[in-house]
Amino acid sequence: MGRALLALNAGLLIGSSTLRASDSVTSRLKNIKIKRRAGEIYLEQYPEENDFDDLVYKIFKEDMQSMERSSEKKITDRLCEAIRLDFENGNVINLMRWRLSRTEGRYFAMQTLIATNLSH
Amino acid sequence: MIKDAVNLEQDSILHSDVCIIGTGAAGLTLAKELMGSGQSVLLMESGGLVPEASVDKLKLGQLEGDGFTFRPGYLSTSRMRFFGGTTNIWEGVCLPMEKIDFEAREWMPNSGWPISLSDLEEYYARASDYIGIHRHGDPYPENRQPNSIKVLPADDDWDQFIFHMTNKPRLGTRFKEEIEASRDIITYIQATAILFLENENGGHVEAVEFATLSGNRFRVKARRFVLAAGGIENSRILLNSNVETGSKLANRNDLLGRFFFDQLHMPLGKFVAPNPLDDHWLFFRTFSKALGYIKMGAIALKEDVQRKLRLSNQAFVFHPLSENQFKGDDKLIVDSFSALHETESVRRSSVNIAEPLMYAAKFKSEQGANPENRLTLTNEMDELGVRRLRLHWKISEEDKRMMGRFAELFADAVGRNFIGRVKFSFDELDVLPRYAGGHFHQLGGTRMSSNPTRGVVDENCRVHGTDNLYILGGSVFPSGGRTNPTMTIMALSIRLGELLKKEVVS
Ligand SMILES: Cc1cc2nc3c(=O)[nH]c(=O)nc-3n(C[C@H](O)[C@H](O)[C@H](O)COP(=O)(O)OP(=O)(O)OC[C@H]3O[C@@H](n4cnc5c(N)ncnc54)[C@H](O)[C@@H]3O)c2cc1C
Repeated sequence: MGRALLALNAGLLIGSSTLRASDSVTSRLKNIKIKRRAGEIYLEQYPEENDFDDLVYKIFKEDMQSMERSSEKKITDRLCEAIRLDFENGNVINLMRWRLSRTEGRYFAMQTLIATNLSH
Repeated sequence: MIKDAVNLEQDSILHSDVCIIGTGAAGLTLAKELMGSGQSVLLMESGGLVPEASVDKLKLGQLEGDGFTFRPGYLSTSRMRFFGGTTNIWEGVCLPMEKIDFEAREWMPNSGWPISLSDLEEYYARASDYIGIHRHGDPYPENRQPNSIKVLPADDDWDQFIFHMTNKPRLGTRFKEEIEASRDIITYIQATAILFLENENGGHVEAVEFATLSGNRFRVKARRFVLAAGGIENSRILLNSNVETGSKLANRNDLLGRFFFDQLHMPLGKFVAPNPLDDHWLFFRTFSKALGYIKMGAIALKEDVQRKLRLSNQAFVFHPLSENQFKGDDKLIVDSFSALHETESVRRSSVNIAEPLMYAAKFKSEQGANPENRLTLTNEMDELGVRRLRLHWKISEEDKRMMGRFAELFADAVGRNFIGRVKFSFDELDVLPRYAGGHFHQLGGTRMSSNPTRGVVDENCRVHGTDNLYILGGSVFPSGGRTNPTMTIMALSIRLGELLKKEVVS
């Protein structure tokens, strides 16, 4: 349940500009599918990070339980700050030729793990 | 007056105070500068008033090296042989070089000019007047003026500036009437310079031999000669003179033809911004009705940051991409990124934000000067008996490394400032040459230095060791910076014009 809540928040963040209330279920599913792919690629590149709780901690520097109580705003702020710091400190990755912050990659991976979990 | 050299009598000898060879940006600007100076000027042009296939063949040659994979027609398509020269096809982007471009930087071997930006400032102002981008009172209007809306925050390491593009770039058309009407200038078309003839002891050019495709040969004797036949032909004519006459004109230290370079041009990749970039910033070409010319935004590292990071001078320019280039995996990243940065208020009120925009970003990069990148002659002759060219040109590992680093710095800057994300067009920096090519800005070959062992011409564009031969054009650049060169070529031409006028007075 906790994971689902975080996933929902994450989904809001990650999908909100393209997934609107009016969007069809198919387009939502398609979007989720593509996102899973990015996460899969990240996890292929960094197989040692294939652990949901660990990813949450790495991104937010807090464990799952405290993140479950976080507001959407707090999650956004944390994410943005982590991303900013990544770029500043050279903590960047090359994902499908995109130069992204490590946090973004982890975020995709988190989504993939959630989606895989839900579909099982 | 414009005359056709085909009508000259065989073996005629023409006389003038100044003989200018070439009617491109350099030759025309100098001719214009000498108008009314009381000096007689012969302005000699290899081509006619319109392009002709037979004349075009004269410029063919061989290419060697990896700099050409992107532009195999480098020697033929990048140079025009008729009145107005390559300005008949140039884009008209005008910008002075920067302070750092004139400096000797130890991390850029063989860099540095014997003159500084301040030596050229007033000539840049006059050059911008000549090409019609001048606004009275400004040396080069708005280049460095901060714009209200920037892509990156002002306190960042980045400088954002505006290129100017003249909207009447054909200098041949622009200047023809005036030049034709001038009493001091006689222009000969169809007159190709093939040989420089020195006096017996060397150190003075006695005459230049010309040929026409109709079989005519004639000579010009002048007090001063100015070679302005374009970045590549300048070296070729002199090298040919060396071979044919056994002289070492312009080549006493084996520098002639060496240190060829261009500005490197290749796609960085895609740059996506979640919110469309504001038009005020002019990320792409915008015609300013008020100013009467086109402007184009670009972004580069500030000079002190370049010094600190020991990087070459580079810039990115951007072109908007249509939305259909923006799908699949790219769409995923773009959507995710833009969602992350959509403002709270927009999300809450569920206002539709504009679709994120994607831009193609392209490098405009300085290339290091390398003596092994050079113009030499082959044994094959052209239709006028001049040896054809071989251009050997490679992009060095260091050039590639600096471009790669610059790309990463840009990607990280837009990343940390939540402005956008970058998708590189390459995986490894090693593959850069597959895409990189020259910008059609041929530079070097007769480089400038105050030291005769390090350069072909001195700070006044006079050939070392020869009292009456000057060279104008990109070939005199010892380092090129990232900005399009023609405004600097014109500034140097105006400066030389002033010097030649002063010499007559004294
Ligand atoms: C597609 C393209 C776009 C460009 N866009 C820009 C831009 O936006 N901004 C910019 O700054 N630069 C640009 N350039 C470069 C610009 O055109 C050159 O820097 C400029 O024309 C150089 O001037 P020049 O007088 O040295 O040589 P040229 O303009 O090439 O003129 C040389 C002249 O010499 C003549 N000639 C050659 N050999 C002989 C001979 N043996 N005897 C007699 N005459 C001879 C030629 O016919 C020609 O008329 C562009 C170039 C290309 C190809």
